[in-house]
Amino acid sequence: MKKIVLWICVAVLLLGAAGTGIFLFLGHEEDETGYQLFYLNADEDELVPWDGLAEESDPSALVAELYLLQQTLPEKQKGEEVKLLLPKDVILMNFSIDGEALLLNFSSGYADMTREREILVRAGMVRLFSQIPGVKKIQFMIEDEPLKDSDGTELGFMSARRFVENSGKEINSYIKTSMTLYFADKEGKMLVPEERNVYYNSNVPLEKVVVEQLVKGPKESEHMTTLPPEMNILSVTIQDDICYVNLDDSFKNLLELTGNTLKTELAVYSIVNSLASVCQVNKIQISINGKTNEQVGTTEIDGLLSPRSDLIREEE
Amino acid sequence: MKGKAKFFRSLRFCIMVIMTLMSITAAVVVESTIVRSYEDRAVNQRTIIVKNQSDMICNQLAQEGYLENQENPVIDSEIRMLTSMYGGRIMLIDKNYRIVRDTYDLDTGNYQISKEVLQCFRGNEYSRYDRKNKYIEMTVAISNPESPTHEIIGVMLISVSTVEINNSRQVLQQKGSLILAITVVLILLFGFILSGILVNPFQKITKLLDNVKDGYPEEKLSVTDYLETERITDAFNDVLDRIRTLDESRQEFVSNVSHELKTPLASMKVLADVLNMQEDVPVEQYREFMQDISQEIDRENSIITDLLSLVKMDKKSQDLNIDTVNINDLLGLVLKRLTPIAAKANVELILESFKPINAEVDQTKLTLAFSNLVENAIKYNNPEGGWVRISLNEDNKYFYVTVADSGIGIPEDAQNHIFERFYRVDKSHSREIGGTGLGLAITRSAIVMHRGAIKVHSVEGEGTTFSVRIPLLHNV
Repeated sequence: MKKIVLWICVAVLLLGAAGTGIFLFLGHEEDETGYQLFYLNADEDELVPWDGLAEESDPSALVAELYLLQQTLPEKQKGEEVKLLLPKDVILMNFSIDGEALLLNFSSGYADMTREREILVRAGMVRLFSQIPGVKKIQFMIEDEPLKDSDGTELGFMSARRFVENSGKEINSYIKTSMTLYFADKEGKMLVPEERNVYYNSNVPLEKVVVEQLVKGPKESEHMTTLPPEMNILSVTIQDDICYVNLDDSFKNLLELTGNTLKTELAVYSIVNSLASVCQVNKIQISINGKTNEQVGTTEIDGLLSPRSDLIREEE
Repeated sequence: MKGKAKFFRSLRFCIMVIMTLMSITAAVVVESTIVRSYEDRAVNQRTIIVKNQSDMICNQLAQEGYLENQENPVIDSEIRMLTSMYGGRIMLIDKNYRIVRDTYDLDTGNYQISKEVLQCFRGNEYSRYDRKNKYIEMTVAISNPESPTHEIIGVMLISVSTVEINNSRQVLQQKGSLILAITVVLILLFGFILSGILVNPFQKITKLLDNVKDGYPEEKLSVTDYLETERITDAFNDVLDRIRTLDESRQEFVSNVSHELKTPLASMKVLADVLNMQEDVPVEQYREFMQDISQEIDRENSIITDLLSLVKMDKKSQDLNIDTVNINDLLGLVLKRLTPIAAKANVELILESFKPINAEVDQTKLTLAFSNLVENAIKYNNPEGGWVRISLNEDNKYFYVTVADSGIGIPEDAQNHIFERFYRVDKSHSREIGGTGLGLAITRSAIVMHRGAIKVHSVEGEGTTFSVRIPLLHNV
């Protein structure tokens, strides 16, 4: 009897200790989140990502914290020599967050960097701050003036996707295909076919490539885009001969884009007809943020849609 | 089952395995080298061609200002042609690191910040073949050839797929493997046949030896296919010759010995019979005849003694009675014992010794050996008389004894046989000179038992010299 009591005591103690441990662990996780910081390698020709931890969760505070973290060299590891990304005389003077956009205002030293250094700084900064939840695009300013390239064009907003490194590795997974896409005609009254050759990664399903190409817009100047370029494709999948297209709600903004000239059903049916022609499916369901009973302008997109040839005008 | 195991141990199997292994190794090495070098060459060539074309296009587009304005159908089509021809992707990057043209149209307008592009702007063009991912990647710097500064105004980044080269490599490899397989089968076949041919002479030898087993054939064995087999058969012939000689001399010995043993017996029988048949034999005659009989008994005795001592030596008995013996004394004693015979034959005995020599030897056996040598030298000396010179010398390991005579000599063809038992050089004189034909055999056995050596040098009609070498210390 005594023994059992003793054992229970030990078990309670052990459980207590473990519990405290778990709480400590969780607390630690809650406080700090892992982010990637970016440094330069010794040759100054490559960005070196480095794991860092930041505590803040408020976007503005996080920008400041990440910037400060970025300005200190990491403890030496694995003998890899890295350098600070920003030169000494380049300082982030202030910044502002406006919805998805982050505006970075640098000191005048930014303009004195070599083009090579500048592009690495820019890529590093964009990649760094894109990790902040909610921040999708970043604009650079020098002393409140927008950053321009050597031709004098404003660079505008940039996202992390805009900076690419070598993609040669995947060259053999790219497939070339020719497809017929449907865009609106000049007047926005009818759909017109446009043939194009597309290279796409075989890891991406063809149906998604079709919608992506539609978002990119027409190549021929006579044709008019049917979808807003900032629209996000959430998913495109084919199952049992039905194509499910899930878009975000920027799909609804297309009326502003076209200045009300475009019949909204053309937007819907440019997707439907293109998918039908390229992927050989006859039933398409479009949902917005997962909801299927939405309305775009005056067009109901409820239920399964079939391609409509009456909207197509054959080009002469 | 046993036959199989035997085959695996055979020389033929070894040869087969070696041949097969060697040729397969060679074939595999050759095949993989060829395939590999094909790949290297094809990739190199592809790299050079693409590089040349790209250089041309780069010059052209720099002159036309294509980086600023891409509305140029000529250059467009050239770029398209290059990419479609080699299954590649071309990106044109302007000095703001912006991709102004991407033949895949995936990254147009984006920024290229890869290390290779940055390095290319610094003037370091590069090209690399990635075998794992099957592509060649290279950067070409774009600068206006007409501008004096050659400033780099852009970079062309080219990735070319090598799947096609890989495919041909695989086809080549498959063909190679097929040829390899055929070669292996052929090699096995040839190996089997060839190894059979190679070991054939050995089988011939076995067959011939089998014949020999049934009796000694008169003709000699001869398998001259290889130097090795020739040596084997030669050696075997020598052995066979020796056996034959031995056999012959043994037969001769049997007849000799029986003859020798019979002769004294016959004499004794005659003497005894004469005495028995006469009725009143005077005592003088009795005494005379009995003396003769006694002599014959002595003779019989000496023959038997010789035979016994030889048999003892032949047993290779290690029971040598080793003592430190003064060789000078030993030889002196031998000569003293033989002096009466020498005087009778009118032969002068000369002993030349330079210093006292002590050696660890078996006195009895060595005395017998040297006695035989000297006795022979006396017996086979000139009938008119002559000399025997015995000389003794040593170095720090051996002592040397030479017994030279002025005798009748030994014919050259007999010199090899004189140490054999029962061998007689001149059979016609044997009876007259006496002896058993065992003397030299005994001598040689005694010397060999002392780990020594004996050699003979003789010129017919001039004389014979026996040289003996025996170690000073007897190491067991």
